[in-house]
Amino acid sequence: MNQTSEQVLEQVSRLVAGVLQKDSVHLQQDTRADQVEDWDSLNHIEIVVAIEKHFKIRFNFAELQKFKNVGEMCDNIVAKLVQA
Amino acid sequence: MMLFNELKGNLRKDFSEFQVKRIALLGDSATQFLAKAIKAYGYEAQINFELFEADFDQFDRQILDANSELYHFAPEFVALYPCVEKLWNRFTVTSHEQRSTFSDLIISEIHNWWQALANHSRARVIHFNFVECSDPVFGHFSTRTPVAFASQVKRINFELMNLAQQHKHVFIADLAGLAGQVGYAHAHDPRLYLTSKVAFALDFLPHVAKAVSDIVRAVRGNVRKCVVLDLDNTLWGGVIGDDGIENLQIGELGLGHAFDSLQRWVKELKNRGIILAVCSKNEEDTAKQPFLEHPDMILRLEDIAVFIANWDNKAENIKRVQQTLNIGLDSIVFLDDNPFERNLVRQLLPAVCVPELPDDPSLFVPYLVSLNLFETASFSEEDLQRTRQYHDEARRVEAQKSFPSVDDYLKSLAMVSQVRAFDEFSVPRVAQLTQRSNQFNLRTVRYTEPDIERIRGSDRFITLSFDLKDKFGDHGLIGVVILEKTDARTAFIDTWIMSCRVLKRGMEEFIVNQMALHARAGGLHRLVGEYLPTAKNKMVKDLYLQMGFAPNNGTWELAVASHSELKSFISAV
Repeated sequence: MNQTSEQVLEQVSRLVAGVLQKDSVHLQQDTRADQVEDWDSLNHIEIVVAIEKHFKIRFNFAELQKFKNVGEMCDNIVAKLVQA
Repeated sequence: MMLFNELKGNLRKDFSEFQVKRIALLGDSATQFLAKAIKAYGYEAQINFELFEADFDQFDRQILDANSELYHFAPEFVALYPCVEKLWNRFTVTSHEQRSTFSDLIISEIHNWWQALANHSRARVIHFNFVECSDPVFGHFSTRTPVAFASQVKRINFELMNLAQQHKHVFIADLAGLAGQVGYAHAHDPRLYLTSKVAFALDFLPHVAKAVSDIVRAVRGNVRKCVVLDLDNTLWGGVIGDDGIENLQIGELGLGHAFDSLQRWVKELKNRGIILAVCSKNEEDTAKQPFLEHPDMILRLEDIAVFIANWDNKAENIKRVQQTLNIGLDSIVFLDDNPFERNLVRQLLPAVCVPELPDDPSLFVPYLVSLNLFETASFSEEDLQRTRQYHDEARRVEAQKSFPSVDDYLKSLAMVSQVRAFDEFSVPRVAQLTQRSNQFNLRTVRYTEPDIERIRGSDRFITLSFDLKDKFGDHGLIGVVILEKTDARTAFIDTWIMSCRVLKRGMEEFIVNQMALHARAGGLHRLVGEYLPTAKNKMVKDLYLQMGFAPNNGTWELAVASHSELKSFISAV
C-alpha cells in the first residue's frame, strides 16, 4: 500500500528519535537537521542508515547531498516506495 | 552479530563493575563510530574501555613523539587502523617504478611505529591488517604482476604476519579475514566514506569491535580452555540409546556429514590444546561405544579428557568436569543441541559460555567459527600435550588409591623437577603462565614476552622456572618465580605462579625451599611475599602462612638463614 508523506514523516520522526536516543522528536516538513538538537553530521549518517533499513530503500550519493529539509527527504522516500 | 544500532544501546548501561582497559585508537579515516562500537562492545566482553581517540591521521606525530598525548594517556592497548581506501589513494600517486616495492615502504613505516611504541610505552599494539579485495584495474591478472594494488596489499598483509612474530607486543586484528566473512560490500559503504571519511559500513563495526575485545580479553588471560560436548544430535545425528550404533548419522548416513564437520573442527581444537569433555545423558557403555567402534567417528575415546555419561543434570556434570580439570567455569564452552539443557546450564552456571546452536546441524560449524570463541594470546608446545597430561593425571588418581598414605604415594611417583633461570626457550611459556594463571597466582602480575626478556636480562631479578616429571609423565613447565632484589638484604616475591595441575604434591614446599636456596646464594637474608587478592586466587590466601612465613604489616617474611627445609618428595635436577 502506498504511504503518504505524512505517514512517512511520522515513521522518520520515530527513527530519528531512536538514533538520537530521545523519547520523541517532532519533525515538520520544513524542519532542517540544524534545528534539531544533536542532529550532527555523524548522527546524520546513522539516521540515513536507519531510514534505509526501515523502508528497505537506498538513497544514492546525490540524493544524500541535496535534501534541504525533512520534507524533501520524506517525498523522496514516498516516491521510492511507489516504485518498489 | 548485533547491528550497530543495537550495540549502541549498550552505551547507556552500567560498565562500573568491569575492569578498566585504557585503549588508544589511531586511524586515517573518521574513527568516531569505531570508538563508539569498541566502547559499547566492551559491555558484551565485560571490559570498561577508556578510550583515547587521536585526531585524524596522526600516526607519525602521536607515535614517534615520546611526549605526545598518546603517551600521556598511558594506554594499555594501542589500536592502529590505517584503512585500505586511503592506501589506494596513496598507491595511485606512487610512480610506476616504485609500485612493485610499495609494500616495502608501507611495511617499513609500520615497523617504525611498532618500534617507537615499544620504546615509549608498555602498551600492546592491536594492528588492523588491510581489507583485501579484487584488483580495481588489473582484475585477476593482479596475481601475476607486482605493480597491481591487490598484489601489494596481499604482500603487506603477509609481511605484517612475519613482522608480528618478531614483535611480541603486537597482535594483528585480521580485518582481511573479517571482511572476507561478510564481504567488502557489507564492510564498506562508499557513501559514508565519500561524505564523512567513515571507512566501515555501520553494521560491520560490531565485528571489528569484537575483534578488538577478543584480543584484549585473550591478552588479559580470559581464554576458553575446554569444550563440553553433548552427544546425541550434537556430535552425531540420532540417539544412540534408541537408534543403535548402526543407525547413527555420521559419515554417509543421513545428515552425517554435518556432524563429521563438527567433529573435525572439535578435533582441531583439541590438537590446538583445547580440552574436550563429554557430558551426556546416557549409560556410560552405550555412550562410549561409537567412540570405540564406529568406523566413521573422527573423535576417538583418547581425544576426550573427561567422559561423563549419566542421568544427572548437566550443570552438576559440568561442575564435575570443571573440578576434575581445575579450570574456571568461565573457560568452559558447552555445546548442546537441546535448548532445555542450554538454558538450564545458563541459569545455574552463568559463567559458562553456551552458544545458541542453530537448529540446522550444517550451520553448527559456521556459526561457532563466527563466534571466535578460542582467541588466544600465545601458543606453545605445551598446548599440544594438554590432553595427554590430563590422561596421565587420571592414571595418577587411580594409582593413589592403592597406597596406605599420601606420603607413600608421593614417594612412589619418583618426582623430579628441573629448576632453571628463565632462558630463551622458557620465555614464551613463562609469559603465557603469567597471562593465564588465575588461581595459584599470588600477585597476578601479567607479563608479555618482552617484559620477561627484560626481567631475565636484569641483575635486579632472580628468575626460577620449574618443571615436574614423574613416573606417569611430564607436566612440562608448571611453576614460575620472580624474585626482585628490593634492597641488599631482601628478595621480594614479585611473582609466584603454579599450575593447578600439580597441587598437593609438595611442589609448593619444594618451591619455597628453592627460593630460600637461591636467595641465600645471592647473599640475601630474607624473602618477602605478598598476597594480592583477586576474584579467583582465594586458594593461595593463606599460602605464605602455611609455608612458614611470618606476617609483617600486610606482607609475609621468611628469614632464609634460619629456614629449615620443608618436607617434599621432589628432587631437584
